[in-house]
Amino acid sequence: MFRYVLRRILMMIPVLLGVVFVIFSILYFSPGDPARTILGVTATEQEVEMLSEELGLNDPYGVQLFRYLQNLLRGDMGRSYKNNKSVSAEIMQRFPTTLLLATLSILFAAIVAIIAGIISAIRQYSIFDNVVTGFSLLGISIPNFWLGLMLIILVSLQWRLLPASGFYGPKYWILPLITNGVGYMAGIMRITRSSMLEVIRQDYIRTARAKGQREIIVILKHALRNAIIPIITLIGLQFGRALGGAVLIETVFAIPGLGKYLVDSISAKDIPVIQGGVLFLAFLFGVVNLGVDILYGFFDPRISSQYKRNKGKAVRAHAK
Amino acid sequence: MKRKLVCLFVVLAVVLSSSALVLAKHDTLIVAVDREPSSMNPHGSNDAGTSFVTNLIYEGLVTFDSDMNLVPELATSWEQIDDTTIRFFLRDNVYFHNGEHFTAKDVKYTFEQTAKSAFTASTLGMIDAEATTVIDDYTIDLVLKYPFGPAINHLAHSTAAIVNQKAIEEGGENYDDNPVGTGPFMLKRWNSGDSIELATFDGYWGAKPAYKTLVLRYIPEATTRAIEVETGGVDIARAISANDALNLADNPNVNVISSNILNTTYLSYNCSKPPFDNVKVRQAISSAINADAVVRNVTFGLGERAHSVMAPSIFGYTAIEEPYGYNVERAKQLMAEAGYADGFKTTLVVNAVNASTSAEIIQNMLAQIGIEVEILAYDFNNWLDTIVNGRQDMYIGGWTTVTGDADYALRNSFHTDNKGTGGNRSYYSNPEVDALLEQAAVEMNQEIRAELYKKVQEILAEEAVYVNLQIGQVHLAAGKHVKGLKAHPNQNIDLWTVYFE
Repeated sequence: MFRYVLRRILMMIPVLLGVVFVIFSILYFSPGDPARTILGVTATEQEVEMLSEELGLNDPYGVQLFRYLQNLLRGDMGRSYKNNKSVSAEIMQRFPTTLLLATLSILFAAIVAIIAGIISAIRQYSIFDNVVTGFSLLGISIPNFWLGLMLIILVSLQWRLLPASGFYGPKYWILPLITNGVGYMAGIMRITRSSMLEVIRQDYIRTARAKGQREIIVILKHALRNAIIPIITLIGLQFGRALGGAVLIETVFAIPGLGKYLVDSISAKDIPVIQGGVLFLAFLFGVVNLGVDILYGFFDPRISSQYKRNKGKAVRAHAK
Repeated sequence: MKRKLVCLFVVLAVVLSSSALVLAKHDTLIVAVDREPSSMNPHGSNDAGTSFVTNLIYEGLVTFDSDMNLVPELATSWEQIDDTTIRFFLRDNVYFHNGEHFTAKDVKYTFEQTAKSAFTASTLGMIDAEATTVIDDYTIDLVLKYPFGPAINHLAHSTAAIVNQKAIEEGGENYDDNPVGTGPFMLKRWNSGDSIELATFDGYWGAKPAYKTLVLRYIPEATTRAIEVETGGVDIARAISANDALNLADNPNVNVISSNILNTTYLSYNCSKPPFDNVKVRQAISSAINADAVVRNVTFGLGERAHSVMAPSIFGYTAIEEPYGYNVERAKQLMAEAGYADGFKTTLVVNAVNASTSAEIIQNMLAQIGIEVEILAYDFNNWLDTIVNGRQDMYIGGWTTVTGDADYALRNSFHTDNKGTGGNRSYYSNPEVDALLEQAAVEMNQEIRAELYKKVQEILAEEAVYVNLQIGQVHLAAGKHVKGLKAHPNQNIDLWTVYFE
């Protein structure tokens, strides 16, 4: 198992180098001058020239790319063009907030959606099923910044129940996690419903019922356990995406997460921040995918037993 | 499994406690701001987010009051010794946040620093730091490289704030964590992306603020800032939208304070390219656009229209009686005289974030005289790149005259030498205007300067280089308990004058 994890992590290195190369080239050859963007509309030629020199922007493409890679191998992601702060320090400072928001939103979404999905599946075409399906359609369609503002107006302004912005403690978390969670909920709900529908028609479910097992055990132990793999896959994908930050949620609720930091860096053409951010996200996505693969084994003994039986072969097949 | 859960909760608890802000009312003023600073060093950036904060931590030799009059700050008075030398007499009772006594040496050091900064070359490049002489602890002769009429205005700009040598050298790369000025507030903590906590400086030479702690919370969304004032989450919100300013006007618990700023928005052209090199075409466009209607629409009726190429609180401003105001019939006639009776096709480049609405209205108005406009709505980067390099036909632009003097507004934007990269994005060239601007820059008599700038503004109106749209505005919202708050044309707020009731 350990060797498998290590191998998967090592395999990410060439991928990450490829990411660096592609992102750097796109940014280098796209229009717009970072120094002028930072200095603004009223900057003179002399100022732009001075700042370009200071930031090393006058060097040729190859020199800049090589310098970046060299520093990266030393673990230095460079400093922001705009505010001269260390990119890695800034990412590490913001990541816990993003991780917390992502975890809370996904947990909230998963719990609500899986329960609703199961009930929808076992009571197919009931009123509950129709309501939930309608709700999930709504959840996918509502723009989340709009939902966020509406919740702020209703809950914070009209009812004065919760603070409108910030991320300083549990009562500050509630509105952002609901807003963020609703978008994820719909997908999880639908996949739970369809996956459960497929499983509860299987023979072994009938067998479980026939032997007199309690219905709740049949659903949770026999059905859900077999239906869970696609659900976990989807939640894993969503979690990976959520770790990139939720730029609109962060903007509306003034949350100092990764999303706004990265999106702002793109409009400012702040190349070290964009590079560092994308690299970090690519790495995270790899880690989350790995985590999902390990979770498969946890939930489905058939997969974990494969690791034990013939280590080498299964690992290689899986890595593909 | 249980142990993992416990670990998770411990991690969460640590994350939470480290980011929790403990706030006590009435000792603390909380202000919602729309931008973060890029630096805590006043010479490290020229953006409005930075100057808002450095204005609280640092002071300059002189400053502007809220009517844009020059008033002494660290200097008590000054006299012009000759065309290139100004003698400043300094306060003797001023200390930096690190306990260092403020003297003329700090002034000399400051201008040695600004000479090396890319962010101050256009505002402070005229200072000859080497020739600047310290006469005694509280007297300094500031020497300029060439005679420069608006020199004192430039010294009032936030990038001319005085820094302390010891603090800069000790701070090194981490200076932003521990900036040192002479102003009423000291930095306590900068929680990047979230908030900046400042404490009042006990050793401040002027009147001390009526509260102990100042928190600037970075809230990017304008509507959220406005709602936070209504819910009492913050005391003051900077830069709320015109729409919210209108709504909040009816709220008995909130005051809205609006001010014109030093910025104007305009429609212009690449005047070196046909058909816009033809003055009749430009005059026709000026006549075809109902600028009042554009301004009313985009500012929800709150904004004022600019009647010159710069804002009214700038020295040298003259409201010009427009020779080519709204008159569609005349516009058609001018188009015919220019040889474009059937109109033409062209493009209009705008910054998508702030000028798309204006662009659409203008597009409709120009269709009346046969000009078919394609709108190119770009992001800031691309928009700036396009107009700096002269790839535009028509464009909507804006200019903020940070020094409050016409030289910065007019010479950058209309002098032939500054075409494109220098600031003249209309690629306008007129030897008469060049000569007037050069003369006004070195003239020491301010009345003569004002007269010269009046002439320039008249020529620009006659030549229809710009269609002047709105004067920039800033709207502040504050709870009714907040007193002593003023909006400033340079977009800073003198928060040390604020008190609670």
